[in-house]
Amino acid sequence: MGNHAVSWGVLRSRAQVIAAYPITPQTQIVEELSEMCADGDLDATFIKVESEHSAMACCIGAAQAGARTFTATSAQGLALMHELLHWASGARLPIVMTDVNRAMAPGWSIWADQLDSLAQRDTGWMQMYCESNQEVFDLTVCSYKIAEQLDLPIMVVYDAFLLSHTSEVVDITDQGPIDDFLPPRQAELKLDPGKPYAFGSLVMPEYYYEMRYKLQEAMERAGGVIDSVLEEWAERFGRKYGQVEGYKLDDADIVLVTSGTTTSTTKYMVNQYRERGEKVGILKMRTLRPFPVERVRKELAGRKRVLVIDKNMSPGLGGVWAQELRAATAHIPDVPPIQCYIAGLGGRDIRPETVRDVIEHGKTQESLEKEYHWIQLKN
Amino acid sequence: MSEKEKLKNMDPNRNAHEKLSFSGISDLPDIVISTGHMTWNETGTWRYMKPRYRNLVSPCVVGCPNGQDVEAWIRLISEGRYDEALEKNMEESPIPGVCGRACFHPCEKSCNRAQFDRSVSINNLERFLSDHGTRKVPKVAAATAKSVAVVGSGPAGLACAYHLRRMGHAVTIYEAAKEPGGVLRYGIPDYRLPRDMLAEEIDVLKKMGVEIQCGVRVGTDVTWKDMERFDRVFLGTGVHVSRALGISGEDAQGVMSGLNLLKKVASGEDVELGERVLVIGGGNTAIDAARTAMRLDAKVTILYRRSREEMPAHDDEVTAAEAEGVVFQMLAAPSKVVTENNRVRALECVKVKLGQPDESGRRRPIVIEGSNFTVPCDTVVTAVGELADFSFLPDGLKVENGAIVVDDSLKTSNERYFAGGDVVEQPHTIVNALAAGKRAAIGIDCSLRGGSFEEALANITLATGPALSMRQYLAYREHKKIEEKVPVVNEICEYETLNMDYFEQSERVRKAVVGLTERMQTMPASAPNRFKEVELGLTEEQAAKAADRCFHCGRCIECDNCYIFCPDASVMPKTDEFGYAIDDYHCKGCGVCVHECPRNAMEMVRE
Repeated sequence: MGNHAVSWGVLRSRAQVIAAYPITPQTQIVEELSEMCADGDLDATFIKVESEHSAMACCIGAAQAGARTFTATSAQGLALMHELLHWASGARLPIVMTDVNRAMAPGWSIWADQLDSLAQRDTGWMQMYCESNQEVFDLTVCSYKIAEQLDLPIMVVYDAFLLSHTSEVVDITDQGPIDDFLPPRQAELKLDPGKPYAFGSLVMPEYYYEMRYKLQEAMERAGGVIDSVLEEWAERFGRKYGQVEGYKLDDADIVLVTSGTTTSTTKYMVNQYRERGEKVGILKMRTLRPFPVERVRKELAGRKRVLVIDKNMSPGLGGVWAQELRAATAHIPDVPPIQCYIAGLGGRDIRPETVRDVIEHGKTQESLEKEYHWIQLKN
Repeated sequence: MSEKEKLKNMDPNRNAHEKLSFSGISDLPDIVISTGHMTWNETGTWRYMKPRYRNLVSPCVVGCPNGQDVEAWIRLISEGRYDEALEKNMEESPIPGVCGRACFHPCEKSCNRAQFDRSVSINNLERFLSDHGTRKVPKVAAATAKSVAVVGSGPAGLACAYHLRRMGHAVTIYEAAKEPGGVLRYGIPDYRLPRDMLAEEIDVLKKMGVEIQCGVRVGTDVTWKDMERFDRVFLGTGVHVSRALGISGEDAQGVMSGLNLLKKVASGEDVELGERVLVIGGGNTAIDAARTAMRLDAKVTILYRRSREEMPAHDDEVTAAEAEGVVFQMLAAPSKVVTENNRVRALECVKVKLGQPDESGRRRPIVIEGSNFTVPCDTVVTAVGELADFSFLPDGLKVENGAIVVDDSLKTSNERYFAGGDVVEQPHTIVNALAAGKRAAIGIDCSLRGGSFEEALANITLATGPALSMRQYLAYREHKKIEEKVPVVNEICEYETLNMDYFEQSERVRKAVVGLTERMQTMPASAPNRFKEVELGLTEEQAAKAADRCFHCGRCIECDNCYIFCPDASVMPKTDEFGYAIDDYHCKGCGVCVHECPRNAMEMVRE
């Protein structure tokens, strides 16, 4: 299961402090981790807390003291952490967190939908979306290396149930090679009774601006760091990932932009169109932050159609991925109108026919007539 | 050196108010970090409430009728300070060794821990401090030129004499029996309360200068007129007359009272019980008599007219008697002693069923007509209650309902006479007698000094009372104020006010007892230690464990929680004395320290 892949990723990463509050569909992750701690397989302090807010507070404190930390959550739990997400990034703490995408309530839902994590877009966290359970394991380990090189927190995100509770074969890389890949964390400035500092205290307007500049400067470096860490991973373990990934993209006229498990379903449909000789391809988005602006500009230029499948809805404007892509490619010549399709909210299946309907509808859209389209809406 | 480099090498204790100046982003650290201490930022001005330390009264302290500062001596035990623990205990009582064995420990009923898992083993810890602490003779105040006679040397008399002597009064105890101790000496068997233990505690009184005259019966050997040379007289003579059964044949040979049996055995007299002994009654005397008879090789049956639940005897004692082989015949009442040549041969009994509860709250026994049966026996021991004999009293003392009438200070209708213990209307227990001795000592001292007893009470009553603090009275009578380490608010610390996040359930420490096999081996009359003490004291390890279970309700024990949790480093341990200092200039009044105090020894007060 995807959730177990995370637990193993955290085990292999030798996290030292884990604090979490249970919430479906994430709970199995920390359940298994608590057992790993109890059995002595993982030499970490497991802190039981009374809320997600406290879980993040524990991670912040522990990370500030120099520890490698982990927590996991979903939906309302992530929303409850919101205040501290800003703190974690502002304090430049390399915390790794799993968010299992789950729709926001009400209506009460435990099923997949990306709004919970996308709504945390501006908190200063890096975000990476996963398509398979192998990606979940690999990116969990890579995240520690990325985060600790940048002193920025990172979220590994994947779909509720479609991955979290679905069994797939996952190659759990041995501890030794992972230890070589991921050395222990070295924090330069940390909580230390021998050399006491206060962290995160008052900063007057004369320097706050510069401090924010430095945060953004780290985000700007993040793209390069992510690339190099993922390349190193590919060299060592043979599994290659990118910030964006193409599928039958090179000669595609129609590009479907996807993220998470939607990509797999879309691949199936793309194959069918290809058999009929239609040039359809996929641009799979992995990172929301830092947003891979240059990559998407390059990949989307010269296409006939760009059709974004957004498994989320920002009320008042539309799909978040589409908005981000439009912003990134605005005024870039040769990028066609970016069509946004809202699909799969609250765990509604995105089926091959859904993708087919998106493609067929997209073919008819020469210009940007609507900010977004509802697909298969029950009228 | 860049500012960033300077920052890395900077003394963290520098005053951050002296500002660093950064030229720009290349100079700034990546993270927001202090550039020195922040004491210049006096956040105390934000506060409108302030934490303060104050101790409350632990419930065990008032659960003890004698007002023992249980929490204080448990803390000393847990610190390994056994001598001081014993000394602390003896501020309120001369007989911790007796109480640690024979007290029915109501303190454990009031223990807050009882609401959490099971109460702290206070009674066992009291015995522990008595066994492991070195007895010190308490300080005696300068002589007052006043003298007091104490009639009776049971727990009430001993306590009264002890406390009066500490106040500097001359005290003489008159005891009718050969040895001092009263019911402790003659009413409680050796296997529960060894004589040498009692003697050791009475010896302390002698060393303090209390004169003890044994074998002197006041009213007979010395007259009440002789008593007039004393400024005050305390009557603590107890109850000695066994209630009669009111059936035919009870004057026959072989019928004796439980008290008499116990007294004879305690006096070392030979007692011929024969083979089969029937004990009638369900109280502690009945149980003591039965277990004593077991140790004299008899086959013993206790006959009780109600059921086990209604037995007034302490459950531990009943269980021990059962274990030792005493047979219980419940729901049966005696109707006639069957005699032959004026010698007991059997007891005729009648079966009983239980009806509605009577005024004592216990179900009333109703005789089942025609259910008579006969139990053959050699001795019948009666233990159906005791009465006081007031025939010896001087004229003019008011007596009502079988008890001497006293006021709040235990003064009788004659202002020179005070009385306490079983002779007045109060529960017939050792600890209530001790409390009465203490109260009378205070009453007598007040009357000798012309002081107001009511005013004294207002100063020395522990929380809701009625328990009194002798420690506080001794300071009060000398117009001294006790400098407590932490100011005390005279209220009980309730269970609900404790922070249970800090306590884990744990097993109650159980006292060890001599195994039944060994006990029975020592029982035949031929065995050398047939009255060997049954209960064993706690080992040091057990005592530490038992003491560690104490919540220390309402009392600061320097657990450091306030210090650890203060987010502003405004709670600091004092270096040269007990407790913590709160930094008024920086305490924001957030109340975290109060909230996290496990034992409610802190509170927020409005400024």
